[in-house]
Amino acid sequence: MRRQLRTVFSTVTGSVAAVLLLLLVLLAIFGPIIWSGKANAIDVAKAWQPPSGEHWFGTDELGRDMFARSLVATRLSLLSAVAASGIAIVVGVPVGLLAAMFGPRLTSAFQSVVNVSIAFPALLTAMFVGTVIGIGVPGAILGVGIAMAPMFARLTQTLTASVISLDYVAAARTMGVPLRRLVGRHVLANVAEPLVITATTSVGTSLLGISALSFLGLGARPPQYDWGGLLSTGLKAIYTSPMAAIGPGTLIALSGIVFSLLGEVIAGAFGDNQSNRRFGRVARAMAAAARRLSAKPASPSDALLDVANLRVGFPSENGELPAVRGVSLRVAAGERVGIVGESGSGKSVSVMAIAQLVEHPAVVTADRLRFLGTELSTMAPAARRRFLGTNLAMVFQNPMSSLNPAMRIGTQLAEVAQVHSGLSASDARTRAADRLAEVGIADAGHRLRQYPHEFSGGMRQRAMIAMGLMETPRLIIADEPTTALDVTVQRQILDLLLAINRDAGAAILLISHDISVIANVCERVVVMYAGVVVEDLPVASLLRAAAHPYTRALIASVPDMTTDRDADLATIPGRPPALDDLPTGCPFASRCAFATDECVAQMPPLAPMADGHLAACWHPQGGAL
Amino acid sequence: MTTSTAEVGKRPASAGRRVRPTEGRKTPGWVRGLAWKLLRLVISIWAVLTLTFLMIQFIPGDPVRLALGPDAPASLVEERRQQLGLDQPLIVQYFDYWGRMLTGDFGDSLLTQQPVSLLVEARIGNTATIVALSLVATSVVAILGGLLVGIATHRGRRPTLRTGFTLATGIAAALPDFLVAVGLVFLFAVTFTIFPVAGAAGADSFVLPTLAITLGSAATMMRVVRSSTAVVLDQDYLLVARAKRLPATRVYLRHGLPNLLTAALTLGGLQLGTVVTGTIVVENVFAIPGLGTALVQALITRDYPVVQTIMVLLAGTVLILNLLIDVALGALDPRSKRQRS
Repeated sequence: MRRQLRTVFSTVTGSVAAVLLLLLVLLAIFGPIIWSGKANAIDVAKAWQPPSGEHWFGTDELGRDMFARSLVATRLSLLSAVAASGIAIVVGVPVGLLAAMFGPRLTSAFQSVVNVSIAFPALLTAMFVGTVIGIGVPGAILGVGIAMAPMFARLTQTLTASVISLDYVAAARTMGVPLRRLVGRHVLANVAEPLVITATTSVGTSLLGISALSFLGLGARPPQYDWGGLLSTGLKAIYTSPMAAIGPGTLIALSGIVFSLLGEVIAGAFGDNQSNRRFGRVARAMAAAARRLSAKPASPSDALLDVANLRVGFPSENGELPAVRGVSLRVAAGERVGIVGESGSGKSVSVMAIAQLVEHPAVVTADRLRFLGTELSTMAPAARRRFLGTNLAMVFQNPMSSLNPAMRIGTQLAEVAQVHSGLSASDARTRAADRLAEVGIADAGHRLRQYPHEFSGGMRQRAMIAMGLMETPRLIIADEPTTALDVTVQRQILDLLLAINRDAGAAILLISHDISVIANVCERVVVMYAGVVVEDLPVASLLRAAAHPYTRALIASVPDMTTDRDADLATIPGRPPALDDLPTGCPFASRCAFATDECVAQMPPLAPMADGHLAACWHPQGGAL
Repeated sequence: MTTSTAEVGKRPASAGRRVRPTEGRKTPGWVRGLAWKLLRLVISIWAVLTLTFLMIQFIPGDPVRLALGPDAPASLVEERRQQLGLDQPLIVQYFDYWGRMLTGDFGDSLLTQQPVSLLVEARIGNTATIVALSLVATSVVAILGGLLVGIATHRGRRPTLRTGFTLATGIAAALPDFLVAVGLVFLFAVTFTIFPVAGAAGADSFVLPTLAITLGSAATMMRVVRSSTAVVLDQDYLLVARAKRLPATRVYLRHGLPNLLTAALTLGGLQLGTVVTGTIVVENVFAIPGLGTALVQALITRDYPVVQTIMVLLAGTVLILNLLIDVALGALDPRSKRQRS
């Protein structure tokens, strides 16, 4: 908390807001003491005078000095605002607490009431209260306070509800600790911070609300005056003496801004901590990515996909973080290729870069990025869109979030054919129904009209695959397509991909962290580590001839039916190097049992081991695993 | 964050009667949802009518004496009491009030003795114009502006635009409508004399009132739209839309917009209520004969029938507007159909 406060005041906005707040408070305390006499001195002969050295804001209809009146009015304006916020808190917070504590039924009734009253305009509520208890300062304060109470009630209720549902609180409840005690101990502590923020901003909101009422003649009335009242006086003289309106108006605006600024700065101090933490995670995630040796680009032109020296970097404060460092990859027509590696090895970023889907601020470069014989990086965007739209399909990891929740499944499938093949809506729907049926979804016609939330996870992934089949893709890139699915469903989805490869002849580039998945589906496997390809070999040779110690470790860590269940699962000790701290030599050296000085000093090139088998290792291992 | 906390409270309540999607074939989900929303509207309107009815009863002392002042003869006070029906039993007054409000007979003004309906007829046009213009202007500016800036500043692009946007909308959102209105009067009365600053003489007299209401509300809503745009652009399904190689317009408008409108309308819907009451303030600044000026006048003179009528009309507008937003949300987010009902 103390550190957070320091952050608040170390920022420029924070100090500006704090200084202004201090000025306002001093003015509220001393203003009436110093300027009261001048503010109330009536001199009818000097009525409606324009600004002068003597009267900075001019004078009002009784010749009173508007500047002195504006300064004196600070006290009433601020006190009213604070009082209104106080009323809102005193009324709203207990209501919210009670609503959250007394079970779901009351909570839901409470929510209906509060939602309606929050959406109900505060000005009308304030006017209603003003009518009942009489027009004047107390009416305005109570009116604005009550108008804002629902906001505090809802904030308290949602915060309390979320604290009550926390695991440790739920655990304490099942152990019989009464809810009252829990609220005292956990809830108030958790609710305090957001409440302070909201209370701060609400003072500004109250000030503007009460000023508006006074401005309309429904708040402070003579002989009392606040800024709103002075503003309406000034408006009468706007042609002759605009400062009489601009002066109090500026004070209202300034105070409103001071409180919303304070609230924002305090919230920012809390929020910044969170976003720093979030940024740290992203940076670590990126930094956990990988390293690579550039391979000699062999380039037979019959390759469906031919990538040479692909590099992807993410700009950061410490220079560019190289997530992919010179990946070369070839996929032949109809071939099934797998890319395996730990999370952060750069495998996903690589295929996203190949698919031209890497976004700003990442930077992608490649010596060659050919698909169906066409260089992608130099293609005109519109032509590339059509080209990739018809020839490349993608399936992503999480089918729960990959489909648009606001669109019908049918629309999401049909639009592909409508956009790329120019099909009519009804023809596209017919094709969509065919494709859904092809991927094994029964009652396709009915399913087309449903939304994603009506599909199970496995069905959504089938729908995603069907979407990829709306055109006739030559390559399907599947990025961890089964990771988010149940084990029983995983097999079905992999079988579906195999069937498409067999029947439609589409090549498959399958990304997985699980080498056994790839061994089941693919003909060739590319092993990535720290942003580089460390081995590229036929699946058939995996068990027999894997040469790189990392590949061999991956294979050894797969449990099978014969694994001794009493022994620890085989794991690879250590962790991949961070992106911002990559070694000059082999990135696996620090985890490798066979590493020598040579490995630490120099990165091994991707060299041929056998026909169709490349590995980047100074000490390739031999023999079956 | 707001939605997640809102869901926390919602979950236990709706879990028990969650509608299974397949049941929707007989009574479609949206029919049920609409029925619930209409029921809520009816209850809200009942609450508003009851509260405005009770308003007079809540006033301590004799409301008619308060209205007419201490010098009014006792006979006149008694006459007005009878005119308001205050001599009747409460329950009779209540049903009488309902009957009158529903048939459009809003009673007579205490002050002028004219039927309130005549006053409403004469003034509702100006108010409706300002409210309608402001609602349209706020929505269009906020949605288009927020979407464009959101796309342009996504993932740290154009940091200068981002800072400028945050600063400008922050200031505009912090300025209350009455200050903006006074500022506009100053600008256009003193410096530029393009638009009239008082009265409702022609179409151009609505420009400044609309601007005064729109500036702050559009800025507030635009911030919401921009941040929801940033969230939606990071969703997997938007990456999928790009992976399907749809044209950018289709990616943003067909796949992005409905989803970000869901978030924007949930929060921005509250903003539209203040657009409606904004007319009360700006009518008074620009001296426009509308319901807002009449309401303030009636509040000051304690002309209860006028106050009740205009409050019911404005509150009803807000409630109906909220219903429309709710319906739009239901249409935009198919998941809400079962969650809300």
